[in-house]
Amino acid sequence: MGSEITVVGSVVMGSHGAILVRQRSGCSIELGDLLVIDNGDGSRHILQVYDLVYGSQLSQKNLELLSGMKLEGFTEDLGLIDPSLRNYVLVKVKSVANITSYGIRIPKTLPTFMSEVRAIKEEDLKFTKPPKPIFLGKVRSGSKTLNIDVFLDGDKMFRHHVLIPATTGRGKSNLVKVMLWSALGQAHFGILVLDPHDEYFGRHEKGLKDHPKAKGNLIYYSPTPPPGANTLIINLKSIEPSHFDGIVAFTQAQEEAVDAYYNRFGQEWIRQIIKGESIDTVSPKTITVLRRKLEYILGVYLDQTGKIQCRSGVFSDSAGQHTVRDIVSSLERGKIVVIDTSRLLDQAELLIGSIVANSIFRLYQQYKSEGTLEDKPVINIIIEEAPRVLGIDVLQRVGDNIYSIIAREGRKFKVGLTAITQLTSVIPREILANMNTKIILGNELESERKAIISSASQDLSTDDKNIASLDIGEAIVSSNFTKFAIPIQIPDFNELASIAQPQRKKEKTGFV
Amino acid sequence: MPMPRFAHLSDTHIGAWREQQLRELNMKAFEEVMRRCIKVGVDFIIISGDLFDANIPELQTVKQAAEVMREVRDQGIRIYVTYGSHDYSASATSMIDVLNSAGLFQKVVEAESIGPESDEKLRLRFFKDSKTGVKLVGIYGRKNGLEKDYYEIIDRGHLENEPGFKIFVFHSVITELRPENLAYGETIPLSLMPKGFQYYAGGHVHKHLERYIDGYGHIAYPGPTFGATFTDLEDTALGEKRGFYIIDFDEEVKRISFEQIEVCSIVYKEFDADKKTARQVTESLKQFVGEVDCTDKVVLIKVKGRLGSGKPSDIPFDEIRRSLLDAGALVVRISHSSLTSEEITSLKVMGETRQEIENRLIEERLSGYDIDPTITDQKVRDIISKRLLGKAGISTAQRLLTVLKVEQKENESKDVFQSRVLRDVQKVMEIGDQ
Repeated sequence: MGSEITVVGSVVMGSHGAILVRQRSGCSIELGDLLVIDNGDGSRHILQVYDLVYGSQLSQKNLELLSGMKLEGFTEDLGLIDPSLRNYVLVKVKSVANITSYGIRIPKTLPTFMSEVRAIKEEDLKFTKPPKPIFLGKVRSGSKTLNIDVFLDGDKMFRHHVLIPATTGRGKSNLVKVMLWSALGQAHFGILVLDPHDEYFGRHEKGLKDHPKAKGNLIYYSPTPPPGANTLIINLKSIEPSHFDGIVAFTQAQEEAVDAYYNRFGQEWIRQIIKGESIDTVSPKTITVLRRKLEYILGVYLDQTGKIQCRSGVFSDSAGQHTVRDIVSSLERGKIVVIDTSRLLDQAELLIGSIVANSIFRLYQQYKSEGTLEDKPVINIIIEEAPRVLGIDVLQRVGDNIYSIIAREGRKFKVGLTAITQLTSVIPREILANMNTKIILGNELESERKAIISSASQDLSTDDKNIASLDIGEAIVSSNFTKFAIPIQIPDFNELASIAQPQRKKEKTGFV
Repeated sequence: MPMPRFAHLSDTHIGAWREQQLRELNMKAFEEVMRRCIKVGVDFIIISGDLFDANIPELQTVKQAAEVMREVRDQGIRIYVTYGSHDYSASATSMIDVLNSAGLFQKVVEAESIGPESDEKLRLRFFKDSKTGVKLVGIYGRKNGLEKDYYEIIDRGHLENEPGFKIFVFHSVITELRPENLAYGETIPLSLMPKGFQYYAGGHVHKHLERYIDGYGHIAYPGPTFGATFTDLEDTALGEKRGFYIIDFDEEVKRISFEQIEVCSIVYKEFDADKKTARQVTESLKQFVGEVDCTDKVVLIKVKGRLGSGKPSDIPFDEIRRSLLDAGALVVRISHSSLTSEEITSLKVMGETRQEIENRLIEERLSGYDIDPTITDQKVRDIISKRLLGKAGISTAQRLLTVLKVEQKENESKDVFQSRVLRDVQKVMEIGDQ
């Protein structure tokens, strides 16, 4: 943007939160544009456009008549004297920030009546880079991108939960990759990513593996790992009955049976159920059903030799004894752990997440009681299709699960969630209210936009059209940790990864 | 015609142990393995690392081991080995290399670096067993998992495309197969292993385990034949079996059986000293000495916990040890490294550098130290006073710390290392010839 001040409009009327600006002829103001009013004392108001309407000095009847005469051919050279004066666009804006020499303030005053309004320049917004910055994108004014980086303090953002609501194809995965890319360079946050589409690591395309610090800070688990990555094998002994809470619906009789087996066999409980070991107090019918259920969820079965096998290879009764501990330890050391769950059933994916989340949550609770929590990095768990565990119907039908517990209580223990969803409306308000950062992408469903707006950290009541008109890669960041809802343009991850410095090739290994 | 078979052992750690009896038992276990291999008619033997406890072990031990391996070789049974983390030498001057050159066995690790520097690959060479046609290829184990760099650049395609019955010999812990409660430093993810081998002969894990992994094959760790540490013997006493595998095969592995080796009985007893007095613990130990049948047995005792009163040094461990030996025990080992006392209070010191923290700690500790009144010999009292108290004491402690921090040099035997450290300590304490 040039340094020349261009007046694009003038304040003509309105109220706090709903200011009306007349657009200057020849200018084209867009929905979502950021505009500026210089107050004269060095401070300035930042305005955001939320609606556009026509304005005219002519009455509606006269306008209609004029239009009709032109359409029906009553006159050939019909026109208005000084049309740019008589017909114009009225821009509805709200003041989103007041920039003073003390910093960014929430606006509490109206700009002067008839103030000149100009387009925003890069120097109008200077954000202070937070201590552990997570890069989200650049400030966007309508569809124009300003060269102003937008960062959130990763510690606060990840600890206090993040909601990413959007419909398909609006760039959710791209956004998450951009965030993780930023986190990867720091090793300040332990982030667990349950990846049902195996899209974050970048096995066959650009991905987190291409980050210059991926070798040290990225841990990838997959049932079919590329060389150097970890094989996802979870030992059945790592699974406790409580890990199924809120993930799998057991009947009362089945729950009692699970408890009975766990009490009798401890860590061997699943193995004994699968092997058909009977317990007097549990009816054979219940055991048969329970066994079938576990076989289905975990994909395990007894082979002809009586050994437990697993169709996906993910669960084992002999290997993978350290997997959960290793994952937890990596998270605790500020690594990003991506688990490829693309070959698993929904429930198995959530169960793996539950096992790890339970372990890390308990550990962090312990750290808190020992007084050592503040030395530990913030943990965040990224979960796709969040209503599977945070949906009202699921919580009512199956009860609380570790994800909903973390959503409610996690921040006290430095454990947060990043919930990605197409359906915000099915997540309880209480949980939405706990999600202190919302990175809102485009959404064409009105009911969803309403749910998002009503739970946002800033007043977005006038932003319905803005959200509806968000294009791919455009977003609004509404957070308790920003002074106003910042419109952003998220960079294309592939471009971001392409310009990254390649990992320096180490010296020749030399086999000695 | 009988099905071909081979034996797989590892972590024999010949030369380990300070105590002569344990060294002998370890050797006995090795001899027993070799003789059993002859007896059951194996076609060849694989030793997947840590055959010796050091790269240059004591020669007497080498001689014994070499003799028994020669017996095996004379029966037409070839032995294939790889370095382990203990007997590895970067300069190929390990005893493994000497015996390899002498033709006692065949080292199955040979590699060439191929490709440009930016995409360097390590091509490993296959060794074919002339008797069975089995192809073996191996990779070293190195201290602190340094071999991981090699795994990352192995030319996997070359290994995976090789036809026939193939064995991959290695000395590393596979991440996904780490046994529970065993802590190892660096591990190698399974995905770095080349696929498609019929058998993966592993070493380094001190517990025996065997798994079949889809896409790979049978992966086995036989564990040590006797053991090289107190923990090993403790595990043995608690039920871990020691021995080696025998594998019957044709085009595929048909049967894997574990051959147990038991060269002595081990008695293990753990004492929980938590909140007890040193006297109570002593009594429990003495009662145990009175009751235990320890004739010709290895006796392991572990005393742990936090004493309620008294210090660990108040417990007469030496006396207990002697009593057990007098009662016929082969060897007695008492571990009390996890025994602490209420009387040993923890200190909190502030300091910017490690040196400062060390100095403060030493100062704090010495401030409460005085000459034991029961020491009446004036000469001893003078030495203590002159060298161990006050500023002189701090200086002595610092110099002691420095000489005790030195590490064993590569190719330096344990004995030479111990003597060197002892000499340096004597110099610091000025007690060389006294």
